[in-house]
Amino acid sequence: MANHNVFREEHIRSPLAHSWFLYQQNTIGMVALWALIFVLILTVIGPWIAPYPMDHKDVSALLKAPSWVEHGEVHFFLGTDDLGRDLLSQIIYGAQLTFGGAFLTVALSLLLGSAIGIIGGMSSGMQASILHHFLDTLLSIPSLLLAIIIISVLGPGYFNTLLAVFLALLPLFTRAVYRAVHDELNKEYIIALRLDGATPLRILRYGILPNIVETFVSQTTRALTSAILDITALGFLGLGAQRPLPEWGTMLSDTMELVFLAPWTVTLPGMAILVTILIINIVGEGLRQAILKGMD
Amino acid sequence: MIPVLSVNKLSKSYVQHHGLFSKKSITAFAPVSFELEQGKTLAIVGESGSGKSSLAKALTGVITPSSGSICIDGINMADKDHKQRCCQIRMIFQDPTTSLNPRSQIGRILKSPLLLNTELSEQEMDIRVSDALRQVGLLTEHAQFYPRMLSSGQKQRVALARALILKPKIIVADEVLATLDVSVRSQLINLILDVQREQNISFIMVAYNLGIVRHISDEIIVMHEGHIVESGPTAEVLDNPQHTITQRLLMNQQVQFRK
Repeated sequence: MANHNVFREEHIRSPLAHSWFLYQQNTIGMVALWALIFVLILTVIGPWIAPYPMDHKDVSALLKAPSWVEHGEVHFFLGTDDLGRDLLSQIIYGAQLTFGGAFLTVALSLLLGSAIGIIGGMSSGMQASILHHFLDTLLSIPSLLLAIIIISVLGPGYFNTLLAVFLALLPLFTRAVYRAVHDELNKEYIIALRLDGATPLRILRYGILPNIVETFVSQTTRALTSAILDITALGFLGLGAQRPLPEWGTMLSDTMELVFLAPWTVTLPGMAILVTILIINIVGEGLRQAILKGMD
Repeated sequence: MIPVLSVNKLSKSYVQHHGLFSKKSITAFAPVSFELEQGKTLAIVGESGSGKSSLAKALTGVITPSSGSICIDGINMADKDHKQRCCQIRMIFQDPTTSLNPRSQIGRILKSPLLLNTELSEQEMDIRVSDALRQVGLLTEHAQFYPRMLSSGQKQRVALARALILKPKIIVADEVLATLDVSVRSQLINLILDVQREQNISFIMVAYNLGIVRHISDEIIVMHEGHIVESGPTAEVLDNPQHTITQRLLMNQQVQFRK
């Protein structure tokens, strides 16, 4: 069959499609994106593919080294801890608690925080001013400290951790979206749209939202990293998830005293945290740059 | 002839707060009155800070005037909302790179005023958009483009098309020529003159370059610190300036020409 496409058709990409095209040229970014998708899939289907149930303890295999070390066994691919729990299964379950928990919290605070931010940004005068100064006060407290304060009121526990992180992230989103909407409102194309007789809702839909995607992306990735760090930090301090739950930070603190005897029990959950945060940041920064480049 | 636009004692002042209780009122422009006939061009000139841009913005409704009336065909527009106003009077902004939404296709930018202010069907709107594009010397295909793909001269043409598409009576252009280079500028001037002749639209041009003002405008208003210091037919005012401000403006630009 003859090739019809003799002349190269000129394709007009929308700015977002163009940004995606630019992102695809970024090799490290694409590797990180695939890794992130892998972690996401692992989070969703983890319980079905983990080799052992979450509370499975094998007393005959305490502190087994990872399988590639001399005394390791392939049944326990990443080795076991002092109670004979398989580390691979624990880390896979932990992905749900640490990464999945952070993901859900960020999604919820993104929705609620941006809604408040948009309402605040579109309004003016007293209403906006109150929101503005209230948020300034909240933002002056570091998110981990804020989370610890909330935990100290609610008491330790995994669910309370998520709640605390959610409440700590909320002002971050609201503030960023508020600023972005406010800056956007004063631009000339918004004034032009208003002169056309557009309603505020239409201005928001066609004028503002498409132009603040960059804020959403950078803010979401930043929030995701800080949520993971906060959840693991609270777990490590013993304020978050408690031990039967294989939350990565909790796993770290639980095996700290074994660090000379069985270093893999500390290293591997730590590596999981490190790698997850690294790929989120690479993807976030890559997307942000691609979106900014796609604008002009 | 009956004027299409008559502005009566229009003024704008801001209140600036100093501390908790003391207020200071700042005048953007004092009460000004003028009239404009259909198909004529009025130029507003003056130094920067003379209130000419504020006056243009008040005419189109970007800022609400403090007092006075703007009558188009005898109907006061000052208390009407944007929707009623935009079919009569439209604005072109100074910088075409910021006045077009970078995330919208040109077609959608042009369609949005039609969508909001007319009852046309989808096909009729497409026809109106492609007509407007061809009228300003662009192609129908440009409707698919995004603003970043166009040069600044082309963007300003799109801005002109957006102003024309609702078939207004008056177009207010706020220093539209300032950011363009000389060759593009003269093309756009010719385009504006052509459009004006075809559709009998009145233009209000806020401008700085008196050479261009002399070429395109019929009437002129010279502003200084919010007041109209001199007004009248362009040729008369520029040939025989009475007020020192006008003389100074002319002198200033003649020095530029000689260099």
